Amino acid sequence: MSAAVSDASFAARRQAALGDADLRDALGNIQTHLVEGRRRALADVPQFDALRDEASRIKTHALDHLDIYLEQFAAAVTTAGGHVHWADTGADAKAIIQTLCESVQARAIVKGKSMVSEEIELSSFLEAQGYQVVETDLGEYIIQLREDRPSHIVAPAVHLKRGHYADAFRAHHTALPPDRDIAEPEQLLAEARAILREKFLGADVGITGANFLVAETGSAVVVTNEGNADLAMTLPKVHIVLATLEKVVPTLDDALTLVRVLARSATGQAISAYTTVVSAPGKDTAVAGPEQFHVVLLNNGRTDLLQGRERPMLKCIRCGACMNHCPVYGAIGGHAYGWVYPGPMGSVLSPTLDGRAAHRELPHASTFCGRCDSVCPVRIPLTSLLRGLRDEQSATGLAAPWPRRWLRLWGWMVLRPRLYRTVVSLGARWVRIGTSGRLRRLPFLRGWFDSRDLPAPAAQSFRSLWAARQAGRGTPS
Amino acid sequence: MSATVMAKVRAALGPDIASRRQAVAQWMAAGRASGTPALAASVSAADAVAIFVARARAVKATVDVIAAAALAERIGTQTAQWGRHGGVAIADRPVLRALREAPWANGARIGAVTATDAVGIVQADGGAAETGTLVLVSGHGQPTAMAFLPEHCIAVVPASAIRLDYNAVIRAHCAGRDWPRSINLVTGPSRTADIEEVLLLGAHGPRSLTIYVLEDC
Repeated sequence: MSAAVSDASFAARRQAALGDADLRDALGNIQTHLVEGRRRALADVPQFDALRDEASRIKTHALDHLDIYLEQFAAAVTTAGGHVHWADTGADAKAIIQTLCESVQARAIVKGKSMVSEEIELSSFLEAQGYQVVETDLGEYIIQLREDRPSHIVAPAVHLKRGHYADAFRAHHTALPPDRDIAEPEQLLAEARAILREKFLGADVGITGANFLVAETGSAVVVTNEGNADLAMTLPKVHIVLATLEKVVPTLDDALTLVRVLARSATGQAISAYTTVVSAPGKDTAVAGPEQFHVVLLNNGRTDLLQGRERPMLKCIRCGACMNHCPVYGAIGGHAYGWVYPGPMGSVLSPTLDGRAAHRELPHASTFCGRCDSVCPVRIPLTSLLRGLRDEQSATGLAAPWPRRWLRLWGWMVLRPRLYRTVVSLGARWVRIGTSGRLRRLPFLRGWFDSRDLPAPAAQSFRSLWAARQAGRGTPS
Repeated sequence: MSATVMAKVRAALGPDIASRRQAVAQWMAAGRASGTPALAASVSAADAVAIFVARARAVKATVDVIAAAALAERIGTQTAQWGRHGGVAIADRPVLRALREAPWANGARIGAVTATDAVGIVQADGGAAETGTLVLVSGHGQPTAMAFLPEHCIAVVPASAIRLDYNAVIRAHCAGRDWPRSINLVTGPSRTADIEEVLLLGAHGPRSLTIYVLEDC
């Protein structure tokens, strides 16, 4: 179990989230901006479904032939003068990056946004080694200042309001006049830009993630709106790309197809402001840019997913559409999920990457309404994967004991129709006692009735009504 | 370490490496047939410039289609205003040579950029109409930072270099030469919505992006 998992149970975290008014506002913003934005962006692209089929085909093919494409990618990076480092675990990746930083006597590191670095807790590790590490994506920067965690994979600070930024800026930017006016978002951005500009200029190493790796050319494709990753990979003398194995795709054309579905699904933009295809400098020595280009290829459990039923989960391009459209995420936000990946994709990834027991409740954090399946740009069957995890829990005895016992009893009963009908009809009669059409309370379901009621069951079952009706009609002539 | 990770990948995929190699060779040979520039299927190449202009404006770039001869004067008006806050950097690229003769360019930095420059003037190697995107290929005379460090980015693109999709522009500039350190697809000025989903321009990259499409170039 990772240190990032809160000690509270999922039930306690989810309950706390439901009572958080700021969080409700923030989650409303996701509906207004991201869900609406995606809808508008898709209206401009009538062929979007064909594009999704193509995107899905590319990722499936890349995963099914991953060894060959990883070989090609590594060879292409090396040919162009770059370096590839293979890391089996998060600890391996951190050790490699530490060694690289030591080799150039680095002191200051700037980072682009990378969920993989959150996954392995890279920044806190490097800080503990004495490096100054600065997150440069505005959302990640405020998260770092507040020692908080991202609550969304695309909009990490979606749970925070402008006042949170102002408080954190006053607490940390102590060289600035304490009575300055930073009430408005424009003022906050101007201050962050000025502070972070100095960090960019003073950094020895820039670390970015990658949205895609291109086997054909040995390139990383890095997408941002702020331009922060571009400064991080251009100004320092060493550029390190940290990416997991499943990011590799065959060709640049394939990566561009994925770019076409990425931002439309994520933020409703046709494309993000900056999409950069970055490679080792090779013979392009006339360019003022970094002298060294390193790619750390991290496994961290991906090969377990590759081997098992969850292979399709590795197609994920981290757009966040599944969480934006999820009624459960929409009610409880990202932190309640307990690890770096929230929403439906997180409910598959957290158990499979970070421990099935630690995240036992997440496969159940879904209504199976299927909106995630219907919006996924690479057609990951999220609800099937979640159902598979539930089945597995039931088979391995990991499922919570009481629901399991009830389900087993229920399963036993439905196989005996006469008994089932008798029990259900007695039960229906019993819960109707003293009600006037609505149920307001039932044993074992107190939580449900805190804020809702249920229609009382009908006095007679459909089956008995139907039997009576057929009997009344007599034999057709 | 490479051996461990690769062995795990191979264990997950199964022993038939040879047939995987063959499938990969086929995929690569099929080439761009697999990359569908589906978005532009309904429009003709002749429409590319008009679509580029409309879509770049939609993402808050300022776009003008002008004659090459008018470029120096137009940019001069802008730099007179912005240049007061810092230096002017001009990329060392063919289309921008004429700018150096202009009186306002006296003292401009050529082919390099520093943190004190307020304006960066670059040549885009092409434009992709599908999203109003500029394509900048790194190389001699135009460091990548020139389009990112200054507050104002002015990009000049010949109309003849505008294509329907990204793939065509990149092919035209990168095929058959040494692969560049960076290919930057730039769509509007830098932006963020990290504070309460409010869209703000000028995050870490430029606050404004002005595009001059040279109609006779």
